[in-house]
Amino acid sequence: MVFSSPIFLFGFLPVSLGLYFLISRRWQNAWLFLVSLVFYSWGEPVLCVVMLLSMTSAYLLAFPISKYKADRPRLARLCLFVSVGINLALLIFFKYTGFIIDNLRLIPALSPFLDGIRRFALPIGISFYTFQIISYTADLWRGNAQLQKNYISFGCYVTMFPQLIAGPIVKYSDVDTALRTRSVTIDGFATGIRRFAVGLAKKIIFGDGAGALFAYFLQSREFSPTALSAWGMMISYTLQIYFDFSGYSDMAIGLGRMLGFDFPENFNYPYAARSVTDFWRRWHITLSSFFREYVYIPLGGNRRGRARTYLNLTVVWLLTGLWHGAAWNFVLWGAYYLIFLIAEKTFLLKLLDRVPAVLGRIYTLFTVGVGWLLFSATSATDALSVIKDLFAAPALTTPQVSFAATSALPFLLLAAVLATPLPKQLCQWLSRRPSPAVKYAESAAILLLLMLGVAFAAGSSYSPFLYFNF
Amino acid sequence: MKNKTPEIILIFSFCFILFFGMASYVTSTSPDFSEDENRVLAALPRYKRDDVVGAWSEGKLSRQLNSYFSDRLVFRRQLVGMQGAAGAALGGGASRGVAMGRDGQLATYLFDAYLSPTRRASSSDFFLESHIAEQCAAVKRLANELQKQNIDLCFLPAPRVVDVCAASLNYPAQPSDKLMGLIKSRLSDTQSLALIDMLSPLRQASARGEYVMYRTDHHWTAEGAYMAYLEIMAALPYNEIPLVREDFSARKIENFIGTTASRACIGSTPLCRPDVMEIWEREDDQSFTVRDGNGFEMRGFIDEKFLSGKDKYGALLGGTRNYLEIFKTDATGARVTERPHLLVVKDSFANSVIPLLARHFDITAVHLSGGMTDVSKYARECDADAVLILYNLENMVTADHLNRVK
Repeated sequence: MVFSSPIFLFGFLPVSLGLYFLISRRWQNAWLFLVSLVFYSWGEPVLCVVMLLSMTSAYLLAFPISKYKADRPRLARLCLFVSVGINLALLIFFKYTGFIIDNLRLIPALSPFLDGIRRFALPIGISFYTFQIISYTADLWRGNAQLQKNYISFGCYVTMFPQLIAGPIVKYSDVDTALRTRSVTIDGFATGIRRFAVGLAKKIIFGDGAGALFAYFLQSREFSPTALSAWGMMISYTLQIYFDFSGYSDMAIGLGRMLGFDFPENFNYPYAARSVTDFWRRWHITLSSFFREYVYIPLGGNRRGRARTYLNLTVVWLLTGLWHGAAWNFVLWGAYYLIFLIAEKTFLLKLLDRVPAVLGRIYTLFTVGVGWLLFSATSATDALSVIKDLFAAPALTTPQVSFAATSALPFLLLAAVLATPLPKQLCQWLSRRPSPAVKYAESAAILLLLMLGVAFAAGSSYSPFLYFNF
Repeated sequence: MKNKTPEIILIFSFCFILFFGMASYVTSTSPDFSEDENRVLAALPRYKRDDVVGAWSEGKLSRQLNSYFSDRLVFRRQLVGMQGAAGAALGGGASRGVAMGRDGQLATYLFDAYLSPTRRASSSDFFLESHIAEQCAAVKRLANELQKQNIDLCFLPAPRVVDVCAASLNYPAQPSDKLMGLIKSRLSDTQSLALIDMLSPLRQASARGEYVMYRTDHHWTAEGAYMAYLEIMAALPYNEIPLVREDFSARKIENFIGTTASRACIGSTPLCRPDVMEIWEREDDQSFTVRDGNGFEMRGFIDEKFLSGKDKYGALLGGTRNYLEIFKTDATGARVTERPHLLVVKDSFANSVIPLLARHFDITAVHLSGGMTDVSKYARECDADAVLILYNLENMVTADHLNRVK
């Protein structure tokens, strides 16, 4: 079930929210756990078992970790490894088996043994909930979190529907207190509505709109690869992935606020970054923070000399690439960022500090855009072909692609402005006005955005069966 | 103390929208058929108690419920219109693959272009040249085969609205010219074939402001169909004199909102300028019979029941049917003989031309997507004097029916 579907907006959400506030506080976690399981199992009921298995193993192994970490640290450490191992094994099994088989198949002698291996469907959100579960186990081991004895509360943390399938990755310590006691205020609920409405509009109007443009430019290349279509692909995908992902994160954060949880921010205007290093402080913040906290720093971070720092960065960025998908173009994408981050660490950042900010932004946007071409391609060869066409295509454009680009210009310009902090700064400036009319106007604007989001959701299900199709 | 009224209003409105939306599924009685989309809307799934778990675990129940909630959303038509209007504003004159031009002219410009029997390039304004060439080759083979039987073949690739009205849409004309040019280059040397290019005359007429293509639908108007009729009559080797406009009286059917407006989701908005559909009639129309061989039969060319609904174009010849016979009867009800027999291999564009051609010919019309491919054999069996292929460029770009004719 996706947040932008009518069944979520007019079926699941009113029932979940309505009963959440009608029942006693002590039952709220149980209710959230129950509706989250319904939410998750909506599309793929069977794969819910994988999540429950993952979650239950971490829950049970947390008891010996907590109990023995002071007196019998070896035993506790063993439990930690088993718990993390089970979760990673499930992630690798479901997400990477196909990738591993495809690569092993390149060795002819192994090929006959690989034919019978069955491939399983990828459980939705497995990368997100696995990391959340690992964060709980690791935080418990490090003493940053208390043992959660209540299975329902732990289940509520892992499966909570707002952040279950697309993040943000919520560390256990972020919501530990809220799981035990929380309150929903009028301000909090209203803030939640604002975030949800903005997120819905971002996702369904701009994310999906940019997605349709990207699909067009990609399709046009099948007939006639041009420089304009390559640039169109880069720009539209850059916008699509931002609005889609950050819109979904906004909706998740908004829903969390309505329920009394403060989820961490996941985006901070990444396309306003002045360097790639800055970009990764603003993009998918919870993932970067997870890798920093649970991989980079435990490996030694930058405290063990330059060579070890680069090695640690390499591990983190190859894992970041693989986390996004089981294919070589994602590995290449991770390696691509590794190169820029190392370059910035060694000399580029100093250089960027000396040039005008706008040049830094252009450099970052272009680097990130090219990165998205690697990310969005079905193979590394396809990606390299589009990147080459940015500057050396067989033709500059075709009449059709020029028309598409011209028609899309108002949309692209508006989306580009909305991807900067300008709208937020404008809202903050307006909210400082003493006039109550501004407050009412803001509420009206939020409701309009919500209705537009609903309208686009209705439009996405609208499929005329045309006369000539008979 | 801070005034919380705006927040309270926001919360109340949000909850109202959510709960009103939910309650409407229980209380409202929305129609089962969407005229705008020309399809039956999803119904609430019903299962026996024992089957529910199975349907749930397979994901079937959730898919059906998703469709139900999407299709039966309250104020769906208005919301879709709102989306269409917002999409048009953001799309700089194009939304959902529909270009929006001057005077309310709409034209679909993105199609699912044919790539292979199992692949289509969805929402594309390109075409596969080899696919067009294959279809031309099939038409050429058919022309040669028919020539052996002394049957004339006439081929009219009907242009799309986007081909004809490019100027008023600011859409480039080059792709259309290239497509038509390719067809002409492949078929112009075929002696046994009369190829009719309607693109140039219709485009010129449109540029003069003549109403030859519908604004909101993908078909040509009665005027456009009449222009095609004149060209067909000139191309066929008979000494029949075409009827002039003054021989007809035009009945105007107001408020025709066609398929293109539906696709753009603006049919219910002020952005849509409905068409006026003209039906050209003569006093002797009732002396013509249309039947499909499956029990459908009507006198005249118009099925009146369509005219009060949305799909007004469907009134012509009673809508799309795989097979039709159209012939003239005399005052006693007997079939008039000794009229030349024309086999029309067609799509829906022909439905507005056939009523004009039927004044001169007995007609057998077969829909090309209906599975009939052996045209030469069929022409012989039905004793046709001539064959007309009237097939829209959109179908040539998207489908592979024409390259199977023989």
